[in-house]
Amino acid sequence: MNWKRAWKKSLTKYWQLYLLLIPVIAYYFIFKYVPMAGAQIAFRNFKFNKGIWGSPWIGLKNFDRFFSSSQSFTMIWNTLVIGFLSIIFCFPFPIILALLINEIKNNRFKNTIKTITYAPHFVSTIVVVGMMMSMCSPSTGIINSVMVRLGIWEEPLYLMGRAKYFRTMYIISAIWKDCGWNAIIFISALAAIDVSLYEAAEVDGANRWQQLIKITLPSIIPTIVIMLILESGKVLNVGFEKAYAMQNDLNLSVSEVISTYTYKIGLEKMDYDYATAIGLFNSVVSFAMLMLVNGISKRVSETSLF
Amino acid sequence: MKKLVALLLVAMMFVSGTALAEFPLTTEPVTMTFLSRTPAFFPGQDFANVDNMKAYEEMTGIHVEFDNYDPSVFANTLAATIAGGELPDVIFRGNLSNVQLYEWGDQGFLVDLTPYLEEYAPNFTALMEQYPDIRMSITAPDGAIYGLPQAVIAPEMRVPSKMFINKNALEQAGMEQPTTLDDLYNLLVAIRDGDMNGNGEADEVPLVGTADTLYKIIGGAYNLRNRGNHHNVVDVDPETNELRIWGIADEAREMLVYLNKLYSEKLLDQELFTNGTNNAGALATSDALGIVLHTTASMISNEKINDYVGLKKPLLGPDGTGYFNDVRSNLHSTGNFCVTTACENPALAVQWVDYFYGLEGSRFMLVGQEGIDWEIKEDGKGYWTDACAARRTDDMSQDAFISLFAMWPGGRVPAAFYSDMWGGEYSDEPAATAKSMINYTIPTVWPIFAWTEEENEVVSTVESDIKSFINNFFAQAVAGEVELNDDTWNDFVANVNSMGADELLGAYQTAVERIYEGGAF
Repeated sequence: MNWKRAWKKSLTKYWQLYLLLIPVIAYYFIFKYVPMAGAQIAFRNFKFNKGIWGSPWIGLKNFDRFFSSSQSFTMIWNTLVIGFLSIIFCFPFPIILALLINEIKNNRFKNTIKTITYAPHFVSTIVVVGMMMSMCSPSTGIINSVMVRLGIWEEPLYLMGRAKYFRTMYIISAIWKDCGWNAIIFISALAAIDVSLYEAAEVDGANRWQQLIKITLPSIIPTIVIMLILESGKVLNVGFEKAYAMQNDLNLSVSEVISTYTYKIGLEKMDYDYATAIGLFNSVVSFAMLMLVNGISKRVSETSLF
Repeated sequence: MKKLVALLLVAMMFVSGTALAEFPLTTEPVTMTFLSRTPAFFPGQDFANVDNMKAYEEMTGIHVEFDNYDPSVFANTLAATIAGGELPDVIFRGNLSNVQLYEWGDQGFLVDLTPYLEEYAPNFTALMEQYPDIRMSITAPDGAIYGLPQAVIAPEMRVPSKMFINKNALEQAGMEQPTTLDDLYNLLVAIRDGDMNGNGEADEVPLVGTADTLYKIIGGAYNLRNRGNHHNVVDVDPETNELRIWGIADEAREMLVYLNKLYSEKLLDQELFTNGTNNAGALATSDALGIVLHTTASMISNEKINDYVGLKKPLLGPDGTGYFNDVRSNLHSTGNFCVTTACENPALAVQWVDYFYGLEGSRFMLVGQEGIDWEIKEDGKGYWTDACAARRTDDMSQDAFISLFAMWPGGRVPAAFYSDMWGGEYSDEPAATAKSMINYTIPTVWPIFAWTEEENEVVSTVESDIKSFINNFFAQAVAGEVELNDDTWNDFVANVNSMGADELLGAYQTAVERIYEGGAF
């Protein structure tokens, strides 16, 4: 009964703060938790006239349909590959960038670099794909003409068309777009490191590289781990917009991911219950993944989300 | 003379009797709400501001409240509105599929229009009697009609996939028109190797188009996809008369071998799969465009358009036959005018729309008011009036211009398209091409099917899965990413079969048996 008393005490003492908390709780309840009730149509044969609560139950039929469909394995595989490649390649870059920026002493130069690197984040995905389309075109694109003239490539490559380039293009553009933005959190973590640590290291005769390895990196490890855990929850949530915009007949075998398929089923075919079932499967796997990585991290590094 | 005309007019009125609607349709003021889908190219268009809709309000006495949504949000809005129970009176230009129509009709959201059509829609009823495929396409499995379509009577509107060939290229190759696949090959080689624009550079692109249109036009020479525009995956094997998935027929393999030859010898746009026809306009401007596959070749500027001539007869395949297979039934799209159960006076709504299915009303709807927006000149052709043409500013596309006073742009209009209009598909060369093509189309065109719920469950997922899979394989085979040999082909066929091909064919079988009542399909 101890916590009850503590709770009461805290409530009377800080009631203004709790009052301020109410809108936030209301927001999450109304906009995040209430709609979750709608996920039940994954188990129903959704009919408009009967609504979410009245449509007949069909159990796991939609899931059965998904897993027995010939496309499901390819889709899950494609999604996982892109997801893992994103973690492997897109995750380290912001950290490296943050470390580099941190080494810049001139403040004005530092801020300029920061702005330049995070500006692409604000370019819409569709525009990014449009830019890629025109820059990578074999006949008129700048990339191909430069590479061919330099003799690096023998002939122009159909970068945005062929399936074998899809993942590379997807990852490279993701790094270009979000590297600077994702670096911000690491830059602020770096700013919080106690300067006296560096001073002490210098007195002990450590050079810049040693300082980086022994002080800087260990100090931001908790941030890195938290970010990695959050990223791991997104492995299956491959961005719909970009994959959809980059899709064409030629690369469909690698570019069809769960989210694009859900879009086609749900919005183009208006098969809402089936699309919800696929989406729900996606979310459950993502959640499991997050818990798994979180658990591992808790054991290994004692850093975790909860 | 004048008297005679007047007499004739009176006589005509007597003959048609009560069939013609009399304006105004109502003497008491009536207001109806239309949940409308606006054209994709014109975000934020308000149908209430279109001239002919304003004029029609005065003619009919019915005030229409247009509730406009872009295509990107329309489907969601409609679903939310229906789920929320706040129905509009009419769903306008929504292009609802037969599946949606049946589902929502069956669930009691849409009114079955059959009881009203006979009495209140003489124009539309006459159309259905003359063109039975219209009735076939829009009648739901329960016998009801839940939405009115866009009907296309004119040949100009019925053969969308056309091939436009540069006349200079034909001249260089010494050819009138290509008649066989070999001719086409030779023509493309001539374009690639000849310097059509004389700039000394090999910048000519022999053929530009989307992959899908390419399969349609070349597929006609192999008798593939032989049941018309509305059915992408299933057709009928001409030898056995049984349903088949044409993408895995042996002829499809032959077609891919041919197309792969074209692609690998750089006779097709190397960026076919990403560009479609995007570059065609620019290429035409620099005289580097050999052939473009398109409905109207509208991307080619007015200066250059006369350099292009449409392919008038189908290419003949290895067996010496060939068809144009991309032909519509007399229907363009379904579900463009649906009356909901919230509408108090469905008969009046039906009367409102019926005018547009007659010749006069069709023009009123599609190109605006005669004498104000357009006139027929002495040569018997239609032209925009000077006052109307003056409204077009330099930066205005044809579509944006017509959208000021009429509803054609964006299509999916509850109206019938008759011959002798102008612009778009009715422009000189596209129209001449279409009128010739219509004589060489496949003999049987399947209407849009009205699926039952069980059939639809199969068709909605299996058909689109198979379609994507086939498109992917075709693209890889054409681009040479997959080498076509017995192994890869048999693999592909086996894969398609394992994706539920039998179920799909089964669904088609029950559907055609129902629709053709057991007769030949």
